[in-house]
Amino acid sequence: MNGLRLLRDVPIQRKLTIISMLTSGLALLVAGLAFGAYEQVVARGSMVERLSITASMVADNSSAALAFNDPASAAGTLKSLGADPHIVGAAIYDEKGKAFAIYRRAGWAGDFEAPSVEREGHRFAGGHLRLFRAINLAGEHAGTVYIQRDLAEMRARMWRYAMIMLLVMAGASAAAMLLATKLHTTISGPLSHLVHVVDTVTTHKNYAVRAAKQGNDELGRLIDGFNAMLSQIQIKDGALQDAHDKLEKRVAERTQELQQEVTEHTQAQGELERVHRQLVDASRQAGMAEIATNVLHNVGNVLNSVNVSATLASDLAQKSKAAGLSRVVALMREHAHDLGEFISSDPRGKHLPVHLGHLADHLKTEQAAIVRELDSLRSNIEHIKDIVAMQQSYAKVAGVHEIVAVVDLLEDSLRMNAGALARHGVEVVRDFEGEPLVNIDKHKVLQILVNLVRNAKYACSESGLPDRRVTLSVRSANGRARIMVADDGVGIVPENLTRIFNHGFTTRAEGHGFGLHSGALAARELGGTLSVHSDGVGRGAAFTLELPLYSAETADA
Amino acid sequence: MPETSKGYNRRIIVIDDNRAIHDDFRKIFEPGLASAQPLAESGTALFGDSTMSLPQPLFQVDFASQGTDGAALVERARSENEPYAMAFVDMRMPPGWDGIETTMRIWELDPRVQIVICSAHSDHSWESILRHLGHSDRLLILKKPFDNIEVLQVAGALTEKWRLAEIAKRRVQDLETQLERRTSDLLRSNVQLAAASEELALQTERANEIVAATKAGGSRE
Repeated sequence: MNGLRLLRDVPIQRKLTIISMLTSGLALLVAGLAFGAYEQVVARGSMVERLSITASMVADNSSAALAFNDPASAAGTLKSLGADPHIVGAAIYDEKGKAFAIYRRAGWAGDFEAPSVEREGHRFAGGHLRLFRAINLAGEHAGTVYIQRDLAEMRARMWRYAMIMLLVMAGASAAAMLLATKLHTTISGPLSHLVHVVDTVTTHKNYAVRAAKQGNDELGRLIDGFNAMLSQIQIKDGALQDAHDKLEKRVAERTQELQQEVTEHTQAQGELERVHRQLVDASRQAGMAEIATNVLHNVGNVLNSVNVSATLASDLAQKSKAAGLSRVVALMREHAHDLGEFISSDPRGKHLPVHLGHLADHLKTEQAAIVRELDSLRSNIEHIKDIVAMQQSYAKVAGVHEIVAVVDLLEDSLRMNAGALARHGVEVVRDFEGEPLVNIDKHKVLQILVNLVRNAKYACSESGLPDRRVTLSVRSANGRARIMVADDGVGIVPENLTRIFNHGFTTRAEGHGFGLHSGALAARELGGTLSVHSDGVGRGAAFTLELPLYSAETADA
Repeated sequence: MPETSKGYNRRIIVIDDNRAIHDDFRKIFEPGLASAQPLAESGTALFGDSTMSLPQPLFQVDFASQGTDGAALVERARSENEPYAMAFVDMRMPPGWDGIETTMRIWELDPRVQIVICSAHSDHSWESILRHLGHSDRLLILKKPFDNIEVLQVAGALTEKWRLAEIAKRRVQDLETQLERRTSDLLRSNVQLAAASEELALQTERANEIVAATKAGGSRE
């Protein structure tokens, strides 16, 4: 088994040689052994036969010696056995089995003792043939002959046979080897060629090579099959290569297309960003324009009141009846000498005290009216100053960060909407906790807050409810300031909660949908967020602006 | 309504979302100080000459804060046969109608109302106002800040215009009635004349026949 396994990895050529040598050797061995066995059986047979004859002759010749009890004659008979060099010893026993005469071969190394007598017959034992033969005399048992012969002769012959066989085997093996070498060209030759071709195919991936066919035996068919297989592989490989090439080409093309698309997308994105920036600018400008429009409207209205008050005051002053006083004084001077009589008895003079009384009353009301108009004038001018100041603070250059109190920003945005809030009778509730500071572009925050307050006011006035309230609350937590502008106005339908920050989204006829959109953008630019909450239509709405808090630590950092 | 009976209508409505502007109009249309009257009377008695200033025509002014309220007042006044002669309408009145929309609504209700649109700045250009409202002699633009005298003059002129337009309308109606009457008279006399002329023609024919018969009889005899 182990031998077979060892043989498995041996090259075919050697395998063939070994197999053919083993086969011929084994055949010779079997033949030699059979021949040897046969030879031995035959040799033994003839040896027994010859020895039997010898024993018979000895028995015949010694029967007389036994009958006459002449051991010397018997010994003489035995001595004739000396002619055979292989008889090592012999003995003659009398009828009672007692050794009568003994022959020992001179020069034999072994010590011959006559064994006890046995029945007629022979046996091979201890490398010797032992043979007993009965001696009969006149049909009666007279004694027994024993001859012991060694097997050296036979052994020598067997040895010779073995030597011949070895020589024959050596010759046969040499012939087998020669034959195997010759066979190599017909069996293992094509195989090694095939192996070589397979190596070429596997190492070089060259499917164009073909194995050469040397005969039409199984190997020939194997090579044919192999070549056919190679052709198939070559075709498949070609197709595969083709497909691969095409695929690679397509991948390259697609890659290029994708790169182009990416470039286009990048460009489009750039364009979008530019448009977006423009939109942001435009919306900011639109917001500015709306503020400016409001300011102009407010200033125009207040100027109107200023004009009316100023004209009225001026008219009152011009048409003042103060001049009438000097006329009365002149009349009194005229009647200085008889003033008492003039007043008491003159038909005109009697009216003098009454007129003076009327004049005093009138001058008092006149003065009160003038003072009232001047007061109105002053408060209106104050109002204009406020509006203008607000506009100036609003129109400040953008992008300048300053540390401001959130509460102040809210108050500013309320002031900018003060007129509208008062006009629509909206109550403002302030719920401020602490005084959080933010370091921020004030202009942007105001833009968001003014818009939120204005929206809250619209939401209230559109609700038609008698109680109109806007609640402003300020809280600070987790490093952020939370500013909430809540109204109890018309509220927002749920589906609009997500759209409300969309560009162009508005629920008001004259709205342009920039306010909350740009507000949310501005909040993000400020690092904050703008969010909305509403429980639905008629349940009010709350907008929350979250801004990063200012703290000394962040300023140091 | 003593004035309307004489054709005067000094009812004015002010539509403006700004209460301060209401006050402005109120002040402008307010008659002079109440104490002026007794003073003038005692002055006349004392000095024997009249120092009384010309009495300012009295305007009856109503106020509305939104276009809808204003239109409602206009409609009620018209249905109660006390129409407004004119209206001062603000251009910007958020959240409701603006001045143009309000004007169109008022004219739908009462086309006679003279409208003065007040604007603090150019919300709409003159062209855009015309585009919406068309050329109309019932429309004036008054720029804020306005002058007290301007307002009074405009109010006086436009209420007078309203009155004259009413008179003209009535006059035209009268003339039309007269014309109709006259036309029917003429028609009637025309018919009579035609009948008479027909009668005459008939008689003439008959006379001719008699003359011819007489002539023929004369020649035979």
